[in-house]
Amino acid sequence: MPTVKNWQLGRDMAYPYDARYPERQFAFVFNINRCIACQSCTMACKSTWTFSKGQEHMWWANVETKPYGGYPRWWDVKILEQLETANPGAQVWGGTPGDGRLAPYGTFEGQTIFEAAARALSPDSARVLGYLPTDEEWNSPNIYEDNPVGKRGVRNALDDTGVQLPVHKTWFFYLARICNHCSYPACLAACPRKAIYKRPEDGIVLLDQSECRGYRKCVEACPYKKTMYRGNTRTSEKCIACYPRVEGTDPESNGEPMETRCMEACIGQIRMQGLVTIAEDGTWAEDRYNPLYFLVHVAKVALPLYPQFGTQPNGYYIPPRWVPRPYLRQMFGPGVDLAIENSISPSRELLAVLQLFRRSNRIIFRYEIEEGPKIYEGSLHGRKVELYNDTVIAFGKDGRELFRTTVEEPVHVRSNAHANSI
Amino acid sequence: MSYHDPEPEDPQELVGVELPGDEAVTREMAATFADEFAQLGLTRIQILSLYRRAEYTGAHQAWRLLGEDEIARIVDESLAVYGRFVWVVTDGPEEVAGSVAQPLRLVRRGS
Amino acid sequence: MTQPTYAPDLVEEAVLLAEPTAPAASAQAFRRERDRIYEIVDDDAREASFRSLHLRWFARLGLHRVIDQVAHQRVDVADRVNVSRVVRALTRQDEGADLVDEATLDAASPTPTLVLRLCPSTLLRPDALCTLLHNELTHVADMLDPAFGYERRLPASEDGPSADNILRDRYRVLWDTTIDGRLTRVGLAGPTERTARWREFASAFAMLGEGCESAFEEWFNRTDPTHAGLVAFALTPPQLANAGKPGRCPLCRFPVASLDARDGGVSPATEAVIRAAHPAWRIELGLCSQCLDLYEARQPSCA
Repeated sequence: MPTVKNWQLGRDMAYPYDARYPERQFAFVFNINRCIACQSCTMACKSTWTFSKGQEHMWWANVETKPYGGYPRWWDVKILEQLETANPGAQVWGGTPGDGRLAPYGTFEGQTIFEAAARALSPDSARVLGYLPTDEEWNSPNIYEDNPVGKRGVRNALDDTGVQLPVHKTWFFYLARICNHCSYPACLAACPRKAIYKRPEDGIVLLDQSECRGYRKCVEACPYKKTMYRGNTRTSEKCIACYPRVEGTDPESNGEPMETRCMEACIGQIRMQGLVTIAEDGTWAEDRYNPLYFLVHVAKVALPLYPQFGTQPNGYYIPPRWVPRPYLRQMFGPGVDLAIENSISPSRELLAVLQLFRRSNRIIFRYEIEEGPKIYEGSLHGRKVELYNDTVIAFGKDGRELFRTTVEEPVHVRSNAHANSI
Repeated sequence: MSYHDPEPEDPQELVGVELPGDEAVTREMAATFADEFAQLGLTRIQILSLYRRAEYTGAHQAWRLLGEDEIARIVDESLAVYGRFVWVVTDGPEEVAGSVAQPLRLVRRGS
Repeated sequence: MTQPTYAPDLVEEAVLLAEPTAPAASAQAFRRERDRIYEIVDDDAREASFRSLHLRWFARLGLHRVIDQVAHQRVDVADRVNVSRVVRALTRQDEGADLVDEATLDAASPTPTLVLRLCPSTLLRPDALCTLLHNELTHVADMLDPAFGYERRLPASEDGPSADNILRDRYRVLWDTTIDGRLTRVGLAGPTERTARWREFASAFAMLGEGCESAFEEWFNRTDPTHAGLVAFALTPPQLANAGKPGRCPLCRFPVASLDARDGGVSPATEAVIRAAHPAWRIELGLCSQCLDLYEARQPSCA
């Protein structure tokens, strides 16, 4: 099996195909600290792409309650368990997180889903460790996620045995998910008909419906379970990253690259999506003032979801601050501690970049900060806070200014009757 | 919320294991939401209603556990820093030939 | 009973699930044939080809075998139903058997149709399927047995739908108990089923207290249960019969077996909220658990 460079793992890894990298890569950052599970993203996607017969159970975008829920149910628990069974006690990270783009989280010393499949006693045809979810696991997203049942008469307390939880008395958070348009897609690797491909211009992973013959190997292989089988067409389908919008060919886009429907609909303003430049070795080329590059490689607050799977996902998450670290380290890798530290006490630049989220539905390719005077100094949660009257300017693909954000004092008071008018 | 006996064979039934968590975690979650939404420019009423509404289970659970007064204190703490300014977003000029660009000013916060 | 007919979606999913366990040469032959069907342009012709292919492989993989065997053993059912259909269940909870009346040409001897709802994955687990089928077909046999005297409707309660639900639950638990008891004695069920039934029984008839276990034994060992007997016990278990008619909650007026008796009772804040809605209510009158939940939940939002 060829080897490819996986910068998220800080090492080379086995992958069924030779490395080929797109010019730019579709990528996104979700700030979990803001997600309240309003499901606007879920419905925006559903009403755009998966509202037809045979797609009833398909949710290309979904928001699930972690650690209790999942769509399909227990997807991450199951694949983590398979990996642990394949490589008991050795799914660990080593080395030390570094500053470079090559091994920012250290080195993953365990096995990826590709490596575990090669060593496991699976059929020769199985290139990826995975499983096929059952009907039950697909058919009820979010059921009981927030309000699980408990024993009769025992309320507001954990079960003594810890086996069955009455209600979520402990921590939880919402995990919004779409296809990660991975750099080394497991769905692509597993397809016996080569029906799945990664576009060279933007790295979006698409499934050619005319080539698909419904083997469901992609459904089995995708560790994030973001390819889904449609019974009435007997083909699999997946998130297409709203590619007409990203291309700027959607009539609404007026030729400018636009963010996807799920991003645009996010009322919690947790989402930012963009296109990052990929270097020849598959890492992110230095692009200091691309907001995604800044969040992932400079501020280091945004982390990949389950990087240990080995697909090099292009979805990044600002991890929830209140969740116990061991859980977060399993989910986002060893970069969690630094990410949380940096997001609790945001730097002047990070605070400015966080203001770029959802101020426009156009893709931001570059930002600039015009520094202003310090306007506040104080403390919050026992940490020093300084605020500046900085102006953040966002630019689109052709360098045109999309918008600028600044702060203003004193407060402009509007009458209640017109509080929401422009 | 139902309270019938769990049926282990029921795939819709949620079973799980105990995970560490306490009031401090809930307080941290509540403070995080307050910080984030204050940074976004929501008003005190808007942020408080996020906690009061049962639809937003995470925030609402914190409100139930900590109480209105404590949540209000947490929100005020965040607003004391991030709520003292108006975040103003100005759209870039449209590239339409012959027209004069009119920046659109969106005042995202009231008083 | 004639040969069962199988729903196409059940057949297709079962074949696809069984495919990885088939010998490699067979699986490849199946895939070659299936791939070619995608090329058929006409929708109806393509669909028909898929169905016929999957049905052939369903038979070839022997996925019908357990159902045929059990149907052959269960003469008590086979002679009394017309045809049987096997359709797809979406969840394990949906799995089961139903009798459906259908208008027949021979109105003088109408025979119902047996419908089996099964998950595709269950067809791949012969032991579990066998146990499930025997359990379900025993229900069906009771329904068709004049001596059992099955009636489709349970007596309606004057106390509203919640009482109807309680009665239906108790009836179901009792019937399942007698069925697993009978199946255990002929070696078609085991200790797992017995334990599961006891758990259900203990929960549904908790009011029997210490007498619960002996009542369970009696029902589990009963050889000739009747519908009327099950209904009578479910309506008024001995303890309830002695205690007289259950009361009603003074707030919602719904019938309840007992008012709420949890430790700590009603907090002053909750009491205030209740009094705001029901000025005449006093704490000594008590209230049901549902009402207490409701007013406790309302209490903070009024703060």
